[in-house]
Amino acid sequence: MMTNLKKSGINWEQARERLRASEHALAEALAENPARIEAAYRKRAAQLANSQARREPRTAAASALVFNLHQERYAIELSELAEVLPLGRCTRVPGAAPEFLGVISVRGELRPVIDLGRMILRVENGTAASSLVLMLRGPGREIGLKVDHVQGLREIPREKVGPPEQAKFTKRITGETLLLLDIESVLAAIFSGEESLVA
Amino acid sequence: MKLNMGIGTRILAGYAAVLVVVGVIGIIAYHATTELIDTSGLVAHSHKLKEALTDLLSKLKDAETGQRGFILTGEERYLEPYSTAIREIDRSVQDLKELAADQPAQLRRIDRIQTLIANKLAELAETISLRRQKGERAAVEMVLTDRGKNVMDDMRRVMGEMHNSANELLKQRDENVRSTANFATTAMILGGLAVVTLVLTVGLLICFSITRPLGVFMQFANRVGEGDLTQQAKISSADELGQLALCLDQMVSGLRDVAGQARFATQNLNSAATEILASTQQQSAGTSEQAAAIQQTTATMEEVMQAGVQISERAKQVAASAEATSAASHSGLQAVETTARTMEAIREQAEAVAGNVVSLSERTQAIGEIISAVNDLAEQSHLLALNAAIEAAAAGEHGRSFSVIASEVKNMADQSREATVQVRSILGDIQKGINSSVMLSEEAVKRVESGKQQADVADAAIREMMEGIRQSVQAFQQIVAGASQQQVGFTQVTQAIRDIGQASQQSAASTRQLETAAVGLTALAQQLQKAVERYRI
Repeated sequence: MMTNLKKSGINWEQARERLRASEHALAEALAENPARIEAAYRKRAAQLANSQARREPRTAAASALVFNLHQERYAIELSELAEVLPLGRCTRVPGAAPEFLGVISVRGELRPVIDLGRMILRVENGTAASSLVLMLRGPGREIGLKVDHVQGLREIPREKVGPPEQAKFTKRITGETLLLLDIESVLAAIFSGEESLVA
Repeated sequence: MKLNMGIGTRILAGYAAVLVVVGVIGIIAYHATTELIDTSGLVAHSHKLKEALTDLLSKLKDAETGQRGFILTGEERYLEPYSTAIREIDRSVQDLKELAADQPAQLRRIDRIQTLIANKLAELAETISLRRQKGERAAVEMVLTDRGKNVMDDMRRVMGEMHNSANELLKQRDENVRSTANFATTAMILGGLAVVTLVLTVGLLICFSITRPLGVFMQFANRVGEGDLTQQAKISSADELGQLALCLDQMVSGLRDVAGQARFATQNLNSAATEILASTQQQSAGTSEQAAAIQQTTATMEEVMQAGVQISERAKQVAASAEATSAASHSGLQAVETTARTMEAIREQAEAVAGNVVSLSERTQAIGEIISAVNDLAEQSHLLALNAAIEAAAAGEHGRSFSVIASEVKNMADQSREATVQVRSILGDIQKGINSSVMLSEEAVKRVESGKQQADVADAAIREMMEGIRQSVQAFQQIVAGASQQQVGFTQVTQAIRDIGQASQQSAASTRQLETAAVGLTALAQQLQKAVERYRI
């Protein structure tokens, strides 16, 4: 039994060596190293400069927020948005339409929240754990749109944006698998169906 | 004359018939004899009458004689016959009357005689008194008057008549007697003949009715005696002979059974005797084999004794080597105890390792919580960067440089998030490693436990082995002691086998006698079979 252990046993010398090496590496990684911080700053500055240079020739482009509704990717122009909030406590309104999720409190004011996935895709409420609410900007437009996930920002050239597609609340973007949300038709649908929504 | 009567009844009936006939004849003879006796009595009566007459006459003569003597002599003593006759005459006359009571004619004559007697007696008395008073002369003159003589003559004449009459009656009565005797004789002769005939007839009949079946039975018994048991007594009647026939049939049937059984038994006996003979011959052969086997056994016993000596030697050697083994197992036991202690130490160390690893796992959990907080911060930074970009877009051209900063903040937040993801994955690996380390430590502890148990088992086994060796040493010592006892026993066994050899020689002799007896028995059985085969069933 003991000989068996010796045969399959590890090389303790080597193990101790490896332990010392990992201990050293950890200490080095956690230590304040000015040279390394300097290198990180330089790298980031270079990246920033590159992005400035890339953005220079573009003139007729709009910044947009890319988000997900289920498996589909959508975009909304930043100029339409007031802010992005985590979907906190949402109070349901009795007797409301299923698209109308309820009302939330934003800094003391009540805002209605529409389930965008249900409205556009006609599917049941997404089950994303960390849902977000996109608050629209403008007087009389203080409405929240619930989305599943936010991917990031990007620029969309104006010439690539097609005409609005009625009944689908979107505009096509040439050469992309991305749909631009047509806020006007969405709002029109919300306000035209307000009675039915409220009813 | 087939009579459904028993033999006894038959004989009794015969005797009864004879008795009836004899009785009839006896009655007849009795009657005849009675009559003969009566008539004979009458004859005797007539003779008595005649005698009485003669007696009376003689008495009268005596009286006369006395008178005459007295007259002649004058002496009183000559008068004695007279006085005697005078005394007895009346009784004689009376007897005569009685005898003649059945004959009136004679009675009449007796009366005349009585008168005459009175006259005579008067005359006699008169003469006697004359002789006494007047002497001889007067008396002789009185006699010479013939008065007495005449009376006597009359009396003689009447008596003669009575005699004649009595003789006639006697003759007649004799005739009667003769005829009665003749009748009786004839009756007896005829009756005797009849009885003889009847007795002969009845006897012959009874005899015939008994002897004829008896002859049949005799022939039957003869044939049975010759051994023929197949027949039956052919008599069927209700009497004793019929019963005898039935009994004979039953007897023959019983004899048939007995003969059959006897035949069967003798056949069995014959075969049994043959088997006995065969088995005694086998026994004889077996006895000689036994003798040979006893010799072989004796030789084998010698070899066994030598082998016992060798066994004893070997047992001594084995006992010595067992003691050596006992010493070796002592050191083995010490080694096993050391192993058990080592195993215990290994177990404690492995448990300490497991405890360390578990506390490491708790540390990684703290790291995970920190990483979670960092990730939360990164998420909030991301959202903050988005809102900054929105505000920048709302500010238009003025917010352009701000939107760059917002974008930078968003990139940093994304990098932070990716870093936390990496740390999480590394932490997962570390946790898996810790889990497997704990499991391996547990396994090691279990194996050490099992090793400890094995060491305990080895300990117990070695102790048992030592005990076994100790017992083996004792056993071998006992074997050595037993082997010497065995030697003594083998010597006794050898002596006993020699005795058995002698006994088997005696047994051989008696077996030969038994064989002779079995031959005799076989011969007897064959004779018996021949005797039994005489019976035809």
